[in-house]
Amino acid sequence: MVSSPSIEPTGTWLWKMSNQVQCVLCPHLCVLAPGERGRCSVRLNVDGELISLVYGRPVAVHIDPVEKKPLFHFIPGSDVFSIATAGCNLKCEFCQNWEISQAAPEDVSPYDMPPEAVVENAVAYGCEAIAYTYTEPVVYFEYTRDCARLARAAGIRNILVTAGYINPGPLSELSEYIDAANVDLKSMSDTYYRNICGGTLQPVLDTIINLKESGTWVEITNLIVPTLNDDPAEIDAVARWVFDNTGKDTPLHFSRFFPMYRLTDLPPTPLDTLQGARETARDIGLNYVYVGNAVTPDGMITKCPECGETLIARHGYMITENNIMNGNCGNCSAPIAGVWDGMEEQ
Amino acid sequence: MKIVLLIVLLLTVSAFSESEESLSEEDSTDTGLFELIMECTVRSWARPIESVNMDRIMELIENGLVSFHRADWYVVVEDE
Repeated sequence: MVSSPSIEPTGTWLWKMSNQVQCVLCPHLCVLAPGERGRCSVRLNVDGELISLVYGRPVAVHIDPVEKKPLFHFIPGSDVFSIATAGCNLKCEFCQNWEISQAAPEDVSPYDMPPEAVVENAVAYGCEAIAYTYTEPVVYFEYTRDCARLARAAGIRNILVTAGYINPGPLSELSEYIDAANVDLKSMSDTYYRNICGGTLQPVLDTIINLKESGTWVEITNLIVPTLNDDPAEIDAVARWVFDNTGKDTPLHFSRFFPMYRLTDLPPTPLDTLQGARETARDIGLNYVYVGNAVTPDGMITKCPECGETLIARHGYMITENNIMNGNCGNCSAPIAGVWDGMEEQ
Repeated sequence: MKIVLLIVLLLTVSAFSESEESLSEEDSTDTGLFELIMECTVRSWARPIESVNMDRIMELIENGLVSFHRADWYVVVEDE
């Protein structure tokens, strides 16, 4: 047990070389001397005690449709109170939210919103769930967990939108309160994870499997980046892994890349590539494969795997048609995997 | 500093491995150890660990712009 640090805000800090700590939250396992913070930039060693710099300090607070996460098989059409703090334990060169994910906490202007206030706001705005999203909820682990615990007690559901770069122990603690997750599976190549994202592959695969085993509803997103992970063999590997390890009913979202952050020299993902990826995944046997960040003829439509009828049609994030009845196809009564407005997972 | 250390390690391992003709099991263990050292020392693929200006951080804590909340999931590294 470590003693409380001596906090003297206006004093001079004389750091000893002892008092090192190792953060075991994520697979980076950062060993930190006093005054150092981890690769996530939000966990700091203060005199031998690890401190979160972002607890109760979100930098993004929005109400989103659940479809934006994206979650297509989880309480469709519902509003989600969505929060994020600064920081991420990866450094993806294509990051769409890099202004906050790659920022240090002292470089952004946060809200003061303790967990109680998050839940109160979610209730006040009629949201059915709270999403920990935009950046990486793993790095604000304690905030996520405490919000989720209170939300669960208040009858609000919890959604994790994550890259999945977390160790099994903390994940197990967190998943107790998480109802649904969208996990980025960025590639099936460890080299890609190292070179483009600053992480490794295996922990992400473990997270997906552990979440599934914990009973969390899981959907997976794969961002297809031209020239980096758009090889048909690689797309095939992603879809095959999802099929083999999570089953045919796990929704897989192929997401369109737009030039961003450090990859502004690459073009957006061609629509043909996305359509091809969808066909590949469906040929492998996945029942629910979607195309995101792009307008395609049927990339956002949920069809019954039994009779082929349209179950949910979407325009952008809006639902224009919903033919799921009590978790079943409205046409042939086949059970449809998902969490449907209070219905149990099929 | 880390790079210098790494070069010294590289040269040391290289010298040992060249001193014997055959590749024994011990050699492959050495290589594995070296790879582990290199992985832990460099990790150029990951975001860096960085030192902070503690005076500034404490000022921000005072002003409520960053939190001072004890984290979970860490261990104290014992001194040798």
